[in-house]
Amino acid sequence: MKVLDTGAITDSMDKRVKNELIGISKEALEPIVHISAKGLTLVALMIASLCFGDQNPDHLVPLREYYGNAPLYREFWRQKLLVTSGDVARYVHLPGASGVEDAVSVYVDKSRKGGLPGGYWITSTQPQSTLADYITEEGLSANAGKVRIRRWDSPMRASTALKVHEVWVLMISGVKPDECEGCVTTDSTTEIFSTQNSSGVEIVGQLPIGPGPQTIAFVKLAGLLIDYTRVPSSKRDDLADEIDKGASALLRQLMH
Amino acid sequence: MGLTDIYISQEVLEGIRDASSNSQHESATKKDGLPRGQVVQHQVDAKGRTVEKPSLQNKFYPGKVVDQPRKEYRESHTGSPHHYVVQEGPYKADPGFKMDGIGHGHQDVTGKPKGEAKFSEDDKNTARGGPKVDGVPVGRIDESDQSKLHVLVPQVECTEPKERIFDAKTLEPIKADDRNTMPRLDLLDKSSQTQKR
Repeated sequence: MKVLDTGAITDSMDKRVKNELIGISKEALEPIVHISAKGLTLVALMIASLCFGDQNPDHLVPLREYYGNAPLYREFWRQKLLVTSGDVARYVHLPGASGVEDAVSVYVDKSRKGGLPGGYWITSTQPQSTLADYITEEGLSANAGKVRIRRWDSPMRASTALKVHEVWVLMISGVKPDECEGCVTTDSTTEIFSTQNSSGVEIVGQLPIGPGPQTIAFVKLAGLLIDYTRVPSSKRDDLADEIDKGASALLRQLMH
Repeated sequence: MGLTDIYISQEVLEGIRDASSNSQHESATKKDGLPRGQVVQHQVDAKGRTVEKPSLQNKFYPGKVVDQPRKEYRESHTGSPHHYVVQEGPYKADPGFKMDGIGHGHQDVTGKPKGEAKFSEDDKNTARGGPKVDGVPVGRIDESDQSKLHVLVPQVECTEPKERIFDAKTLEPIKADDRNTMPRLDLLDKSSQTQKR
């Protein structure tokens, strides 16, 4: 086991704060993870909390609302990309300066043939051109109806789907007001998460500006769901294992 | 539906142009492929009244990559476009100052211009404003044609912002087809240079 003194940790973190990096990267976390068990772990975590506690909101925030054509865009991507239920988990990525929208939904459809026990399915969708480009100053462009959407469907094993659902519910239930209220951004992407809670009510949250390590782990997990739908079926089990692992790690953190 | 630009003073417009130019230069110097932005702000007193002319904030806001797609999954097998999770900001005026606008710019890792001179949905949201945040003008010097300054101008009525193009040197409007030449003074608070809600 690699043992480091607390001075090294503080230096490493100071650099990161100065560099205004978001979250705690893997390299920054490494000294904390590998520190000796002789009481230093607590000290390291306290330092981490002092350094990052206020800077990186480690929770989702409510959806930000904007005037103008923002509601029209939201309606457009919902109509085009959300082609199934998303009662288990859903993630929508809206592009910044480049790229296209992406959406993935996990849901139950027991009537569908070719599924796995439990009837869990996962569907991801992606437009062939950026949907935001069809929203002009005047409104929805005349050729908006012609945009083609690509779709990927896969069955998902129940154990993975249930674990994903549990993480989604815990993360979205933890939505807190935006600490950076009044802040603005440019060219940033937007990450939106939703699921249904035990009462069947849809709950929604958004990635905050400057997310903390737990929230970053969550967005990475959401990215894996998209990957799961797009890899060859021979690789799907490996990816499901990876999703399980990521979800379990996040659940352990959230339960503490 | 009314379309009235919020009032943008010549000083603020100059600030937005300089902020964009500075951001491009900073990005080109750093050669990290990350975009940058800078805030135009003015000092206000305790009652929110302007006490000083607009100036540039003494810092840049570099873009940051929060997550990036794993190439083995999203490129080699599907050829689907990149799916980067990126953030640029959060822009905030200094304490005791109010934000007048943002200028930003992009350069690639070689220091050459990157991307088209078009505004992202996030830029538009910043200019749109919402129930919890006022819209602010967002400007960008066209990376491929440095003679043009593009500015997303918030509307007094909180409708969709309009893109205005100015000569980057003289700041004369280049394209002003549907622009109301006279700002509606009754709806403007010239002292704060922001729209009323």
